[in-house]
Amino acid sequence: MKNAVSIKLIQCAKTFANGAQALQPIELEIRPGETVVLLGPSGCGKTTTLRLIAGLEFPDAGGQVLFDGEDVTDLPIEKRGVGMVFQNYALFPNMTVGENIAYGLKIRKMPAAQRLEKIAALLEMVQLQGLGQRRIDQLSGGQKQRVALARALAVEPKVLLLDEPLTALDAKLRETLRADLNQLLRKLGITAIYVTHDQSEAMALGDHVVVMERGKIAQIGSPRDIYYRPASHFVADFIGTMNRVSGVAGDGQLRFGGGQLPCDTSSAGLRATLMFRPEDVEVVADGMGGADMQGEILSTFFLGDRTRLLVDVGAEQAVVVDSGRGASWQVGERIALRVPEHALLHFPDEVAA
Amino acid sequence: MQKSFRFYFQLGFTLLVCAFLIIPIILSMLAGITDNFFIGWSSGFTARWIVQVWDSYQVTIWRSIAIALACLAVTTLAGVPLAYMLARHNGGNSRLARAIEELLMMPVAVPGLATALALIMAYGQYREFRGSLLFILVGHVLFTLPFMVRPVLAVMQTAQLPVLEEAAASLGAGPLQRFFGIVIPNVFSGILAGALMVVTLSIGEFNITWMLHTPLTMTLPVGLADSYASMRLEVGSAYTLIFFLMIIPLLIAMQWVTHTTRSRVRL
Repeated sequence: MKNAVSIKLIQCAKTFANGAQALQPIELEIRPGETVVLLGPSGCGKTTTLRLIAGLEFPDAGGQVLFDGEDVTDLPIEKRGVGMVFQNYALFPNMTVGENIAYGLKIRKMPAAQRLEKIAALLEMVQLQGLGQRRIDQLSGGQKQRVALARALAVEPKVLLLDEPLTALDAKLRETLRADLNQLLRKLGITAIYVTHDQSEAMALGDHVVVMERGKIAQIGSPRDIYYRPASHFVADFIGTMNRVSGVAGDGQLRFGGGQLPCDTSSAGLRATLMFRPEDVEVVADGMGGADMQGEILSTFFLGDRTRLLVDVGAEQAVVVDSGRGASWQVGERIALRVPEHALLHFPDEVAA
Repeated sequence: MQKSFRFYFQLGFTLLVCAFLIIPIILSMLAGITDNFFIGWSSGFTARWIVQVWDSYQVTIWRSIAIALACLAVTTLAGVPLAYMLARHNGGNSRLARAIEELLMMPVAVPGLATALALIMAYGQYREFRGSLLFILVGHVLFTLPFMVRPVLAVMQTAQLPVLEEAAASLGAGPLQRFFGIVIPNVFSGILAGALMVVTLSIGEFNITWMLHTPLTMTLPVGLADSYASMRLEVGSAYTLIFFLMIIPLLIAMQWVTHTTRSRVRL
């Protein structure tokens, strides 16, 4: 693939005509060839950000969009050289698969013979060999999205934009297509921006993940960073399953009904909250020391590779614990738990106790 | 046994209703080829009434066809872009667009005579225009425009046009390329349905035309009234026969188009 393009958003805000501010001024830098996932709940501004980069929306005065350092802020989408894949496929129903893929090439006045060659190559790339003559309504959802991808890549865009491309598909298909998409993006080395509300998709696909919340960027980082070192309550809660234990801090400990956990003392005497992941909790066998807390099992969920337990440790919320295979647990049983100190996350409480 | 009785009862009832609708029309058409209607069919059949109508009213038939086609051209050229603007204004969620759509229906709801009177009051002083076929055309366009706009608008609202256009734009298509390459082909079924409706209504339009016409701008339905009023019943009936021969293929085509449009799977 030719040289990939870097993207930079400078002070990009977006206020819609009805006065709703979809996006606070944001700064975002995307390196050439990397896949960046915009992740967040609906209404967080991720799609608006994508549409600003696409040229389907324009930022409020003062905002700038740069492709490779070149200001493209005022260019409409048809002049930006971006490829776009939509949630509901947006294939042209009046054209066959081949005609859909060739649409952008036709606009660019590529000769017919060359076009046919290119269609065949693209169909092979998305594993739809020989389906060029099919009508769009004869395709399954997964096939449609592959065609949409081939159509977007046909014009060799500088940037590939994907707006929740897998959301309309069923779970099984989503996983296969996600894997294929991942391979393809690595192989092409194209700068890609991917919008999703599905955190596992974000983790699997992104070189970097941009977590967004209410029109602002909450955190930018690698999937690992986002998972293990969330920058805020919101990110910690949004990504994966996170336990929250609140209590009163003092003497380097946070105390609550069922036990205590280590906590730095800067907030001594005040309420504090600690967070940790279910898979970091260790179950302590009966009679062994070193347990941080004790509690009663409220419910168990057998998930195949592990058993997920909901344990009441006397804090406001029950604690979620993933225990390995081997053990079997009964509801009502008492259990002793330990959380390694490195797995604990401490955020200042939003409100003082 | 029970079941077959119910079947025959329903069949009989259906046929009765059909007969109620069709028999007067058939009688009228037969009258057009009967030698003397007052004597009855025993007087024999003849084509001379048809020939007579063809000789004296042929020009109204051509005129009606010409007006219908002109009307189709105008409603298509004005109606499709209008529907497009109504569908896209304010993201397809516009009170103004809905108000305009309703207003377009006004000439259909208001009695044709009133519309015609209004037209005469507004443009009557321009003698040339008043006496020309264009004046009739204006009346027909006013009456048929909503029948073009509505089906096109309906298709536009269901066809995911905004996102299809965004997709086309991302592939480098400018506004005109999008309109002709994406919008028009994807709403073509709506345009076709509207077109058949417009042509049918224009050919059969009587109320407005009757008020607007001069002896030199008489159309087929007005000529029909004229022949019934001033000539033998057989002549008027022969005229009806010719009218039916023109309009029935159109009606069948309309049914066929609606059917194929409905069975087409949309994205």
